[in-house]
Amino acid sequence: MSVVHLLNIGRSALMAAQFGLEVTGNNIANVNNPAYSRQRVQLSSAVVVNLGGIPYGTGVDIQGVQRIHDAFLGFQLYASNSGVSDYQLREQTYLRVQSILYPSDENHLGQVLDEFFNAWQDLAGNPSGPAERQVVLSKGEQLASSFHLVARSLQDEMRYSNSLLEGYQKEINNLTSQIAEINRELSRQTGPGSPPNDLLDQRDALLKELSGYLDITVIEQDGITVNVLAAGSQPLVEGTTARTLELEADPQDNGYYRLLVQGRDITERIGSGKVKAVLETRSRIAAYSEDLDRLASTLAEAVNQTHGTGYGLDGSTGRPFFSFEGDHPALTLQVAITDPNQIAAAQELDPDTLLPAPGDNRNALALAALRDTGLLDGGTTTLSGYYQGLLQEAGSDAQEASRTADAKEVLATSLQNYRDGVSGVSLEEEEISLMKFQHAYQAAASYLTVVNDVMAELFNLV
Amino acid sequence: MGIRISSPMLYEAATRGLFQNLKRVYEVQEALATQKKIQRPGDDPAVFRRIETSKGTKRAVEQYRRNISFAQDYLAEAETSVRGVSNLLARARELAVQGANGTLDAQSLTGLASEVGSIREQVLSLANAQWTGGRETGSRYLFSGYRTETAAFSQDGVYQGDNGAFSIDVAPGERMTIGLPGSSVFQDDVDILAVLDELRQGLESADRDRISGLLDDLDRSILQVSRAQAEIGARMNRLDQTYSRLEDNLSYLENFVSSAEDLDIIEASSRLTKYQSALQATILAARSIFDTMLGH
Repeated sequence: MSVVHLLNIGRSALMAAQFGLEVTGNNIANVNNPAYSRQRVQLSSAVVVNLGGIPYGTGVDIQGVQRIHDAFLGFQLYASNSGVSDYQLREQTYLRVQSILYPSDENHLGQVLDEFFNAWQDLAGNPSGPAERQVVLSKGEQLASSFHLVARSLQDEMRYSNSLLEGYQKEINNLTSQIAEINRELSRQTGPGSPPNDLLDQRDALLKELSGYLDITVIEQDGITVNVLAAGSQPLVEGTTARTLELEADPQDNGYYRLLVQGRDITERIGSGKVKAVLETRSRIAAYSEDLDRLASTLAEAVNQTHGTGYGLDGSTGRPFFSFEGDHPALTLQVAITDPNQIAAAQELDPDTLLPAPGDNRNALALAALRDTGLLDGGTTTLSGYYQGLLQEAGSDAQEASRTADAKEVLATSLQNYRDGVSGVSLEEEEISLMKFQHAYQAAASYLTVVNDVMAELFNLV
Repeated sequence: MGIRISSPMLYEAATRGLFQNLKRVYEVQEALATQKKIQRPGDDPAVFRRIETSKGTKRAVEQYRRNISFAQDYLAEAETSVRGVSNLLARARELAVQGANGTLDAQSLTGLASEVGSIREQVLSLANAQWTGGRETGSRYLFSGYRTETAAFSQDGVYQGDNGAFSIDVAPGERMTIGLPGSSVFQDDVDILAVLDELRQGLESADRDRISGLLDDLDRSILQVSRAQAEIGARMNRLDQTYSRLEDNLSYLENFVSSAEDLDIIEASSRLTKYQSALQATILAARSIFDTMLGH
């Protein structure tokens, strides 16, 4: 072996220590980068030369940089992330819906409904009283405007779902094209040497972000590129090609969006993620809206029927108290009476005067009794009972979303912990690595000093 | 070595602990601000519904109590009138007995006649009594049936009202007849005003047989009025009973609502203290861990 050989060993030792410091520094630098997987230098001993039966080491080789991560864990993380994003968004939405249906203890539809019927009770006490008549009218108007407010806010929520979906669509398409782009990068860079760890980390982060919007299936191809399927089977990314997610307004369903990929409607097959949360809450809110409409039309029809059989102070009869448009009862409910004298509190006309007796309160009593009459669910449920049922339903949806969100967060936390345990940078560990490589560097330097001295001696001899 | 602990895990754990404790503190604070355990339907849907149902019943019960007060007002007014009529009739009977017993001269009989005439006017005015129904304005005739804006009796004693007896809801599913039409109080068995008219005429014409003949009518008039008084009393009783039943019902509902939704403030305050110290401990722990870890 030549003396130069000694120098080469020293050079490789210095290089390895320096590279170790570099990787350690990079790990430390990325400690707060959530997408980063910690890296480790892979070293192996250089070719061993066998001379006369004696093996001579030739130093150390840098094999590459290993990215420490658990691929299988990634897939679990995506699924869990879809679930958390889904139920967190549901929880937020239902929180808003609850305050639409039940703004406060002091001010909600059930209260106004009771006040409306109480006004009829007061009218029964003084059927010719102008004040009592005016109160009946204004409570009726209050009731109508409470219905409007709730109905309109629910409608706004459903419309808001469209703008949310537009935002998500942009994000999803943006993410899938970035993932396809990274796939392209990766397939170009294949060959000997370390895999491009930064690209892999970046793609994992994009996939995780994508999983927040919808449930995805990630399939590794040839160990380098990935295919991404949405809604179970619909490809969103195929190698280097991203498939665009499209939105289409559904004229059958109030113009609410459906989701299409390559012309295929995947709306019903989306199982999780924020998109699912939007679709799910939208359909629940639509159901609440229907209930509200049923409540409004039942109220109006029952009140109108009873009202129509009675007589106003002016002898008028057959007048509806409320009016509404068939398609949207809650949104269009109006008090149809303008003259308080036309409120039909009486049941009978005096044949002489063709006016009712001013003290005849029988129709007012009949109307007030509607409060306790089973008008819905086949005659078993009162109007306010129906409203309370609606609140309970919305409450159960909210409670379920909130509980599920909590449970999914716990799972997501433990998965994230596991991921961070495997891939996260530990500053303590890196400090030790720093010392390790620093010592190695110092020792290699001392070694080279010795080699240098030895060579000098050798040259002096010559 | 078990699980490898990396730096992000420590940061995450500290942050998570912080938010968990912050959330708890926030929830207790919200509860303390509203003094309620249940803020919205989703907090406990089934209990929430029971609370709302009870509150709805409470609103109805409060209305029934209003209705009862109104009915009590009416009956009290009617009772005053009817009692007045009863006293007047007793006096008229005394006068009739005096007139019938034959010791009085024509002049005295004329005096009695004019007193009976005045009694008749007073009875008429009591029969035409008005009330405001506990309201500021708008008086109504007590005894005109549904024709509350028409005097019950004309000057000639002709009934101008109808037979309507108004009802009112006094409890869930319980409707009670309250109104007393003049036709039944003053003209049911005997026409009281007509009897008084006749008595006056009898006294004026010193027709003792006619006067004696009216004693029976007067007795029946008194009986008729006392029947009305008894009816009023019975209705008042029933209203009182219903009112106190509603009172019980209301306090039961209030107790239920309050136990279901009211916050135990002492317990909540101690929870707040607990969560606040937990929050502080989390912050302290995080700080000391990071200090030790970095060591520089």
